[in-house]
This record gives sequence, structure tokens and C-alpha cells, in this order.
Amino acid sequence: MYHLLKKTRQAIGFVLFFTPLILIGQVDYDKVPDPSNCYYLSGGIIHESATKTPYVGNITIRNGIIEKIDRSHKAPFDATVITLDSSHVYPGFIDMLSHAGVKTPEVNKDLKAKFPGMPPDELAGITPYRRSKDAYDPKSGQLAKLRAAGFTTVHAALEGGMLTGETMLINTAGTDAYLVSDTEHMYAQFKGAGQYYPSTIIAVIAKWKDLVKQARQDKTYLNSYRAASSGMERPEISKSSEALFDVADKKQRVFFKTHKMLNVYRAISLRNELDLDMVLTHVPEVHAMADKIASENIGLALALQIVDTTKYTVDSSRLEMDEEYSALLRAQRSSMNMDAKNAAILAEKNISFGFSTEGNDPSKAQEIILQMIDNGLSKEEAFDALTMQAARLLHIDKVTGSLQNGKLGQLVVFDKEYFSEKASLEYAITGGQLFELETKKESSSSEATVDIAGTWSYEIGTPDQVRKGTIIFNEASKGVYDVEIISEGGNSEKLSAINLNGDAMSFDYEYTEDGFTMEIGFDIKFEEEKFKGNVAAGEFGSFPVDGSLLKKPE
Amino acid sequence: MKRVTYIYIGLLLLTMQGLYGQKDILIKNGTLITITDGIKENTDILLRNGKISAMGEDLAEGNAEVIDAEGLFVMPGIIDAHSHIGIDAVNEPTNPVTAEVFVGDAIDPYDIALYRALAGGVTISHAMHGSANAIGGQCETIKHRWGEWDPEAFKMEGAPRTIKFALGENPMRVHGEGKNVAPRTRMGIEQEFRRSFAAAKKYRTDRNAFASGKIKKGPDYSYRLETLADILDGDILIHCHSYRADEILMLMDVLSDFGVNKICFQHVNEGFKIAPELAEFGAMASVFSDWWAYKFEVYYSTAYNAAILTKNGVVTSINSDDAGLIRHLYHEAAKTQRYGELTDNEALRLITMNPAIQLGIEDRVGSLEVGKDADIVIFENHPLSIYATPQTTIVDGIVRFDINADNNDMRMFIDAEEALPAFYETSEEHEDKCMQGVHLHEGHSHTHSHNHSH
Repeated sequence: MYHLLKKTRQAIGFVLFFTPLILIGQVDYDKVPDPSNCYYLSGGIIHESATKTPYVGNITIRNGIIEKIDRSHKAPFDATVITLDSSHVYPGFIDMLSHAGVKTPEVNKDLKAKFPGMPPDELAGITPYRRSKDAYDPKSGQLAKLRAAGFTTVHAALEGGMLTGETMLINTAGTDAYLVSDTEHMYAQFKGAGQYYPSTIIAVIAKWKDLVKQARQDKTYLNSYRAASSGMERPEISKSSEALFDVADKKQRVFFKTHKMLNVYRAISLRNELDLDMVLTHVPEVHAMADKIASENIGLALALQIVDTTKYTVDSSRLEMDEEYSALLRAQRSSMNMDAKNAAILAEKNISFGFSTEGNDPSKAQEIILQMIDNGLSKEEAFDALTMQAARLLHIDKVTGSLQNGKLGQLVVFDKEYFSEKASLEYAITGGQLFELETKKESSSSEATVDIAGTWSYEIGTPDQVRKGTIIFNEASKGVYDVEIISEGGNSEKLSAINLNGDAMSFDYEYTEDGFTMEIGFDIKFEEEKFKGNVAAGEFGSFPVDGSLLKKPE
Repeated sequence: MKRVTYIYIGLLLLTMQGLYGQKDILIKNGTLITITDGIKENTDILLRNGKISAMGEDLAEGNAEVIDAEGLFVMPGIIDAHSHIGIDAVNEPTNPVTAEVFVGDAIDPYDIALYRALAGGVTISHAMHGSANAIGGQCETIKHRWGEWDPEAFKMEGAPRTIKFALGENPMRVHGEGKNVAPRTRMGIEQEFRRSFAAAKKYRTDRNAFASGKIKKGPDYSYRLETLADILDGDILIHCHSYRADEILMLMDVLSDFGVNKICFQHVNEGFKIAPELAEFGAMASVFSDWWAYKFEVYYSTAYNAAILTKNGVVTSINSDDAGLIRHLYHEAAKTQRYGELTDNEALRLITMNPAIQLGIEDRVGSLEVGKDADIVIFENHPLSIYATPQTTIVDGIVRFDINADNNDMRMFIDAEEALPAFYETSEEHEDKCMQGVHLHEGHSHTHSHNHSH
């Protein structure tokens, strides 16, 4: 079968090297030869965790696990070697709550409630029996976005009403091997069901009390029925009640969305009244209640957002004339300044917190974290919040959150020190896959510093074999090239007007076969008669590429 | 995404607490209006550990902070038995019976209306569920501890549980007209009560039988029926929105049938017609001084209502139901002297001792007595004078309002992203608080736009 596929591939002459991977995805056959799936990162500045001093060293990751991390070990013979030159290696960041990678099912349109006060659970937003795993969507663009921002682990929840269902802990590779841990938490929010009961926050809270006490009663009855069912009525237990048994028993952690400070108070009161295990998410500026949070000993996922001071314009002509107007603006400004210190104040009180991106743009993560650091949060605290603290609150600190032998090989590489200055992501390893991110360091047109015109050979190291071909660069104008990529099989792809920036070039194109479209992206750097870089192949990951000059144009 | 952020604009206020919080306060040489023990002129009153610890002439100052009240009137903090300030949600209008919901779960300590109420001498208000449902939610008696961040700090510890009922047009309109479910008529509302109490009675019987091992399977847990059963057990005081005499008599009949006797009728505009019947039942009444005609069932009204009820022995209070009116309840009480010739003490009881009785907190507040909570308001001019102005309002021995420390902007929090506070240069249409959160079906938009309905 495999040979047949190979033959077919050659006969059709697919472009480049991706075809077998696609066929693997499409055809079900017995056994694919295991790729070595080993990466060796050498020479990076390694930040194992917030509490460890960084050092220059090497990391070997095999099959998604950190096999070795130290100052001096050598590359295993079968590893894909990635040489890092003064780049910074961190444990992959953890997003404590997001809807990335989850496709929430549509509300059943046929569902109706004759009495708005007694809707079926689904209309009421009560779906604790749903599981994110059942709604996993590897193609979610959000995963790639998070990955590009340095997040390798996501706590992914369904959207919905007051109780959306069980969450999952996934990597951001967007593949079928998606779980970081099989722990499932519960996700809840103060969200009413519109025209149906419960529509207001007071009814949502009342419903919580009702559901938890109902679940406790159901479980007690079920246990006594199991012990001696003779003469006992059968238990009648709704699936919502059953799904809440672990929450009611304090065996399952509830992640509760709060979004405003008053709701933080309310969630804490609810937790205390019902004796639940709870962590709060989407937590806004809560510095005014920092002492309370500290004494209540509850973990937080701070919303990764910061006050936007540009949201309104000041009418300066009124400032002098209108005392009330200027007083209000002054008050607002000091409110902003206080809010900016939020994370720093919470850290000072030793409150455990991480960050969640829910509802916010993950690509702004670093900008926001640097702002928090400018406002008093220490670099170590910020680092800890993005990694180990989040891991602890999610109960995954044994498998990820820091770089050490045996933990998952979830890591990110930045060109600069992430917690000090604006840094670009170079690599992310998540779910055992290497991604080179397309963040171009100098994407603006810098002058070409080398002449690359000519015919070059290339070799791409994919897990199962090395793929070869040639690339012809024809200079169209100064620093601008037409590029033709010719695969070993003879198929070619032509691109025009690609800029050479300094000694670097990036180009990508869409490649379609059998209705399957994949984005192929080259990212290479030239040095004399060689080039080096990476090729990203859609969801299959990113692979190293090497090239050398065969001949100059005549 | 609205992000509310907070700053310490109330810094002055907090400083005040710092100064007074742990300290005794000695209010010297005021005219004490005790409510329960006459007027005491040139008398001192000492506040210690949140309580009134002594009253008398020339009390020793010790380390106390002294407030000179010479020429001023010192009275117990005003109590409003019907209000909706300081809470985030008022109505859960999806079901005609929502006994399980509790507005105390959604207290908003930063509602500026609380501070304004303090400026009107009000130290306690009864934060109520709205009147959309026949049996609405449970209410919370809150102390106006302005300056505290924690909503829990506003709950009056130990105050009895209360619950909102409603008769008449509001529940009929919301459910009958609005959702095409029962109740659509006044008769239907009676059946809501009867059905609910009957269900609760059965639930309670089964629950207790299961608890004592008489049956092997108890009823499915229901927070709603648990709450209703608590009403039957007399653990929750009913406060019922009402206007028409016939309906009020109906509810008293229903309660008699189920052995419930703790009730305070709210609004009660036709209470004057049935004052002896109310008194005989032991029902109480919390009314407006002179507010009516905002809907059909509220036309037959009189400003003599409070006086007639009082003279017939009904424990009567005057309430605000409104963030504006709560700022001058003393004026509202004074109107009973023009309409009904109540004495000073009878008039002031309407906003102190009587609402305290209606909320079941009369042993703690409502009068100036040694041992009671140090909830005090100091007036310039007699509180029933049209020139009366509260100077200082004290809750549990802590100054929460001081007219001399009142800044223009007393907000607890400031939204850092909001262009300007809503109260500055935008005047939003007054929202009907009693029906807050209720959206009726199209064709009844007039219910949104008229100014007040209760």
C-alpha cells in the first residue's frame, strides 16, 4: 500500500514534499514509520522557571517530552538541531481560560419553553454535562494566534450560559494529540438566559444553590439505593444533576467568570456558602479588594487587559473653563493609574494568579505584561503568573509550567528577554511539534545585502524523510526576485516579486490538491553560498530547510 | 466589554473612618428626639463600640471625639422599609413565583444612591425585590455603611429574612399580558399563592417524613419550595406590594388558611378603607405620603392614608421606593401633620420605630435607647421643619456622612474607561425601579416611558 502511494505520488508529481503527509491524513493504513520526533535546541539562554537563574544550555525534546536539559549535553544522533544564538527559551505560556479550540454547539432551534419560567436546561444555559473534548476544533484559528503569542497550553471552555460544561487542557498545536492533561474543570459564569429563567444574576445564584443541593441529595440517595435497593423507589436523576456530582463533592474545580469586581465578591460568597472549589477567571482590576482576596485564599486568572487611556479625547478648551469637567477627568486619570498597578498590588499580597485571554486579543499579551511590569509587577512575578502559577491553579504543574526533565516539551523561544523588552517569537514547541513563527524581525523593506541570483538546491528535513529540490532565484529588479521552486518529482511553483530583506527572504503560497489547501511558507537566511531556515507546512508543523548554491546565472 | 475600575476617591471618607471608626463619639448638648422616651433637651449621647452607651447631662468626654450639637436635633437614623437602592438586580420577571431568588446576593455597595440616602439621614433601607411576580424574591435589610467595599458588609447581621409578594396589575401585566401565562387576572394571582403554599406544605410534610425515616424517598430538593416552607414556618416576613382593598383582604384570607400571620403591606393606597381589618389581622402598612395615580389601580388614594391607618392602630411607616424620595423622608413624614394632624412623635415614628418593627429589627434600632445600635442623624432645624437639613449621619458609631466633608464627587469607584460619568451632562430617563428589569411585549412601550409606577 505504501509503495503504491509513493508511485502515485511520483506519477502525479505533487509539488514538493507534503503529499505523503496529506495522504497519511486521508488514508487509513496499518502503520506509518514513526518519525524520530526529536528536537535539540542548542545555545539558547534557558529560563527554566521564574525562580531559576537563566543559563546558556541545550534542550532535547523527544516525543513531546523534555529528555534532557542542561549546559552541555550533545545532540542525539537523530535530532533535528536548532541552533539558537542568544535567543531566550521559556516554558510555554499558559492561558488560564479561553474558548480557543472549542466549537460550541449551536442552540437547538426546535427547543421551546411553554413557560419561560421553566425552560429545559439547555435553554436555561445549564449544560454541565457538555464536554469541551466533544467540541474540540483543531482548525480553530485561535490556537495559532495563541501559539504566535507564546501560549502553548490553553484551558479551553465551551461558551454558553451559566454553566457551560467541562473544560479541557490542550496544547496549541492544533492536532489530534491535543491534550496536555485529562483533567476537566467546570466552567461557569454569571450569565442569565434572557427571556427564560434564570435571567438575572440573583436567579443565576439561586439556581446554583438549587443545583448543588439537588446534586448532593441525588448522590446521597443514589448511594443508599446502590447499597440496598429493595423496596426503594428508583432514583430519578437529571443529567445536569449527575454532571454536577463532582462539583458538589468539591472534587471538581469550578472556573467562574467574573468580569467585574462586584462579581468577584459574589463568586466568593457563593463558593463559601456552597463549599465549592473555585478559581475566578476574567478577573478585572480588583486591587481595592486585594486584602479580601488574600484572606479568602482564592486563585485568579486575571484578564489580560489593561486600561485603554486612548478611549476618549479630552476637550482641552473646556479644561480651563469647566472646573467640574476637569475634576472628573483628574479623578478618572488617577483611577487609571491605580488600575495599572493592579497586578503588582495583587502580587504584593501573595495572591495566586495567572492570566486568561478570554475576550481579549492574545497578540497584545506582551505589551500588556510589560505595562504591568512598568507599573510595579516584578519580572519574576509576571513570568511565574504566565507559567507555574497558572499550572498550579489548573492542576497541571506536574506536567508543564517549567522546563525540567520529564515535563512536557512545551516551550517558546524569543529573540530577546520577554519580560524586559519587546521580543519576537522565534519558535514554539507545543504538542511535540516545532513551529517557527512568521513574525518577521525586519519585515519592513531593508536593503538587500547579498546577491542570491542563481540556482540553488534545497533539503527539507521532515520526520519521515529528507525532501530535495531546486529553487531558482531570478533578480527582477534590485533586491526583488522571481522565485521558482521545483520539487524532486519535477513539479514547479512560480512566484514573482519577492523581496530580499537584508540577507533574509520569506515567501509563501497556497498549495491545493484534491480539494485540500495548505499554506506553505519559506523563511530563509542567506550566508555566502548557503541558506538556512524553516518551512512551515500548514497544520503539519514547521521543518528545517538547508540550501546551497549550484550555479550563478550565466 | 465594560470594565469598571476603582480608586480611592472616598479617601476622605476612609480617613473619617480612621478618625472615628474605633473611637467613641460624644454628641454634646443636642436636643434628643428619642421616639420612645420623649424629647431630652441639652443632653449628651455617647456612642461606644457601635452602640449607644449612655445618654445624660454632662457626660465625661474621655477620649471620645466630640460633636457639638448645641441647637441641633439628634434623632435615630431614618429607616426606609421599601427601597431598591444598593442592589444590582431588582426583578427576576421570568416566573410568577421566584421565592428562591435573593437580592442580598447582588448588593452594590458603590451605588451613589446609598451615599445620598445617608445625606438624607437614612441609615437603613429595606432593599427589595420588585413587583413583577406574585411571589418575588427575598429582600435584604441593609445598613448604609458607605465606604465599605465588601457587599457582605452592608447586610444587617441578624435582621429577619423578608420576601416580596405582589398583587394586582404588575404581575398580571408581566406574566398574563407579557408572556401569556398565568396569572392574567387578580383571581389568578390568588391561585398563585394558594398553589405555592399548598405545594410547600406537601413538600414540607414529605421532607420531614423522609428526615424522620417514615418514607424512604424524600421530595426532590427545591430551593423554591424550601423558601416557601420557611414562610409557612413563620421564618420569613412577607412584604406585599398592594393597592386595592379587595385584594388585600383576599391575601389576608389566604394567609389565614395557611396559618401565616406576619405581613406588612406595601403602598396600600386603599388601606384607609380597611384599616380596622388590617389592625385586627396584625398586618402592618408601609405607604407613600401623597403619591398616586401613576396607574389605574392607584387612583383611589388619599394623603390621609398614613394618619387613618395610624389612628386605627396599624403599625404604619412611610417609605420612598425611590432613590430621590429617600433623601427627604422627613419631609414625607411631616406631610402627615398637614394631612391628619399627627403629633411630632407619631409623624417621626413613621420613619423610625415603625419601619423597624416592620423589618423585625425594633430591638436594635428605631429609637434612641441605651444599648441600641448607634445609628444617628443630627439635624439642623427640627426634622419635621421644611428647613431641616441633616448634618451628620452615623451608622454603628461610624460617621458615614458629614455635610462639612462632602465633596462634589463622592463616588466609591470611577470607571477609568468611561468618557464621563453618566450623571454629568446626560440625563437618562428615570427608570421605573419597581418594575426594573421587566421588558413587556411590544405594544406596551408606554410602561417604559412613564415616570413612576410601583
